Amino acid sequence: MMKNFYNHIDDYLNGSLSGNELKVFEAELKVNPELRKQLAFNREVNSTIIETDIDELKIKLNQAQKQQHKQVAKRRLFITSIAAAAAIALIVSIGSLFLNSQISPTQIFADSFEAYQPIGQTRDLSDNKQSENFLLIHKLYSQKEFAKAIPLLEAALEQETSSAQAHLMLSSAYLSSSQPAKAEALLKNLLNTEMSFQHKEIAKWYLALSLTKQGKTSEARTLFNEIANEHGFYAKEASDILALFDKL
Amino acid sequence: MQQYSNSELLTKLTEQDQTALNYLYIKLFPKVKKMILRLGGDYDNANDVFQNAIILLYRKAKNNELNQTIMVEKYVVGICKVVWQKHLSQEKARSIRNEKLKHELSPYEQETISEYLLSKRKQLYLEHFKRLNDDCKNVLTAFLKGMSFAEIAKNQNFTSEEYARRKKYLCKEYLVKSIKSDPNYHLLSNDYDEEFL
Repeated sequence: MMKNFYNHIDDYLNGSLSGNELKVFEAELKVNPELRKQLAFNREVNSTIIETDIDELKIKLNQAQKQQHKQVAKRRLFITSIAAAAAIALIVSIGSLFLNSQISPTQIFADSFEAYQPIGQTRDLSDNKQSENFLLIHKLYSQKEFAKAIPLLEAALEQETSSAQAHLMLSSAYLSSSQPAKAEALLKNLLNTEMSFQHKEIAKWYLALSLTKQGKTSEARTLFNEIANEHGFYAKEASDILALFDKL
Repeated sequence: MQQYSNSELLTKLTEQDQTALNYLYIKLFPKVKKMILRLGGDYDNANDVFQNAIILLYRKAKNNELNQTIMVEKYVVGICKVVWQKHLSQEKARSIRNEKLKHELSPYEQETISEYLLSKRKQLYLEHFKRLNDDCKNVLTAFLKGMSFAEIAKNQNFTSEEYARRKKYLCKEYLVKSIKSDPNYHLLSNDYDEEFL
């Protein structure tokens, strides 16, 4: 008879419990949540001890970090050494740059837009249909084959209307294919539904960019203001764009 | 700098190829650093989050748990982004006392955070394991690699099999106590609503 089940956790994990002892231990596991918790904890600890490769990886990552640091330092040195020569050219060119540069909504859009990067595999689409079609959409999208991805995403959204990630992917595909009006309609639709804080901020960001692209700067400004005041992921970019809007 | 295809990069990562790891650092770390510095973190935060993301990717690649279509660059930056956004939303929830914000993660984000926390816990376990004396480290490693107590006793020059068994028990008990007395363990072992960075 086992007096202290906790002392037998390693034996159980190691497969050295058998017969009646194993039965008693497993019966206790079913009714004892604390024992289950300790079992999970010990399983994690034991697997860590024999994972010696992670420690080696960590050492190699630290070497890689040093390497990267050196490269940055080297680049800085190079930049400093050519700075003097560049300064002359800069003084000459800067005058003409000011003369030629014009801030426009299209330019702001071009400088700020980057296609949405889906995190993971849009589970809300994949849970029901882990199909070749779904994998194809991801492949095309990641390869920036937006013209091919758009009809597939449109069809997928007809099936799964609630997928926030798919909405964001499709709106980005529209924006990448110079169809900002379609992106605007899609994102306005999406923002009327329930979603996480993060998705909401991303949807607002792309909607604001769709409006900017179409020259609807007043509506875009309202959205960029909201994003900037919410202090989320795009807050800094939104503030920068608002500063550029003031120069339009 | 040598260039890698996505599948080459995954293979080289599972082999812990130093050149490929250098490549990953040079190519991806500046992006992660920029993102985290811009959002109120510091260099150490960025480095910690980045290294743990690589370790997470390595574990998954090694255990064949990765989808074939996964893009390494997006995956690593994605993990860092989810982890840092979670950190920010915790900060925000705290500052405006909005409990509701704490539960607005997608299933993928929740899974990523759980995997990240597990990775951090394992890092902590390893730190405590390394602090054990050599005898303890050897006994525990041998036991967990499936060696019998009789073999352990012989290899370690212990007087008996029973001594090896007792030694293993005491070393493990010491390790568990050491881990559980670490304040970081409690932050990492509760649910992910706790601060974890």
